[in-house]
Amino acid sequence: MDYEVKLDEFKGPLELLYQLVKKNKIEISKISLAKITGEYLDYIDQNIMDLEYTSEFLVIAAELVQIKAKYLLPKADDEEEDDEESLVERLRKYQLYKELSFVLADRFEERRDVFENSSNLDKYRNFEEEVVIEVNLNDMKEMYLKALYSDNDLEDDDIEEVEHIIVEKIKVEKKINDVLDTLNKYNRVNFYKLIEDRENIMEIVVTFLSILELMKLNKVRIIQDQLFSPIEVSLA
Amino acid sequence: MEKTDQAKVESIIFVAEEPVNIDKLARVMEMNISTIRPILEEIKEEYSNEKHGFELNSYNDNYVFETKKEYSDLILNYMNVSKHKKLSPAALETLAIVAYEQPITRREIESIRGVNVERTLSTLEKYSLVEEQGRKETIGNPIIYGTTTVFLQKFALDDISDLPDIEEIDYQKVFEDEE
Repeated sequence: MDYEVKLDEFKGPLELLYQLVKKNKIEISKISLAKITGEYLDYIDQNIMDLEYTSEFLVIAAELVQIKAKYLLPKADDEEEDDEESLVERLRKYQLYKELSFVLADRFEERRDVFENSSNLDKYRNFEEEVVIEVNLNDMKEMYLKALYSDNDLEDDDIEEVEHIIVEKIKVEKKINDVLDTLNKYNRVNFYKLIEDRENIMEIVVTFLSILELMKLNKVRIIQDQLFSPIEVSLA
Repeated sequence: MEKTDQAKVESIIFVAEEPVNIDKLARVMEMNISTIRPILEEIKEEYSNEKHGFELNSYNDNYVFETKKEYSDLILNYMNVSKHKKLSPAALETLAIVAYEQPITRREIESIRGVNVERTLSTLEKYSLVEEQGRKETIGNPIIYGTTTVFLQKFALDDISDLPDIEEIDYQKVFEDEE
């Protein structure tokens, strides 16, 4: 029988194992899995895949080889068999959901062509008051010109001066130095004391980053006595 | 119960843009849920009669009029559509796992399927079959997923306990089916 198992993105190692079990018409058990180890490895061999994807297949391959090896070797009485059980269990569970998915598919198929009545009530609803913009062509032209030229080109007092919002830049490097300065003075300080302007989210974030960086460099220690109690920073 | 109550409830379900929840119906009708339920049953009963082309169905107590499935070919013909969207095997497997194991995290689904399910999950979310239902209280607070009312509707389940019993699955049948 010609039987092709595709190792595309949607079919993982368990799918492959499942297909092999099905193809060989065997029960899912340790003995049968040991028997199809060779076939499983052949499939991997023949399908070169990207590494991330292959690795998942390789993990299962390793488990299979281990199971098979145990069967070939004389067995110690007290040997544990947890690994083998787990692969068998996983495959059984996978098989169960595979089967359930067929059951769901049947139901979906059956219900697919049932339609609900669906009114779109929008056309009956009162729309929000319409916004009326009173501009004539001339106004439009003026506005266009204003937009085109900056205020010094256009001698028009109406044009308001544009205010730019200045984003204050706080650098992590600077903050690190500030934090170290403060710590040299006070030794142990509440985290919030290190922030000058508590309304400034940027500063809070930068301060936090600085402390993370200092922790990484092993220069400070963080102390928090219990959950939600104040965070204290001290020199390491 | 007034004579027109049934007609009133019908009219609301008829215009609704999506299945109407029983709580909302009760509120609009100014009735208790226990009073409105028999009315809904009455409507269900009436439309199940073969002289009607649609029926009243409920999913998790959300009520909606739907066409009877025996007329689907006729409707498709009217709509000039022949082909339908199908869920991929990957989507169905993932959906089955979410439906039976919910609430479940992505990692847990992946350990059952043995593959990454990120894309499949987002497809299922796009079709509103699966939704995020909060976060698990464990390391990393992973998102937990569960099925939606749309899922119940698309699979004709009154509620989630209506899913086919796992024990009832005929193992052999599946093996034959696929070959």
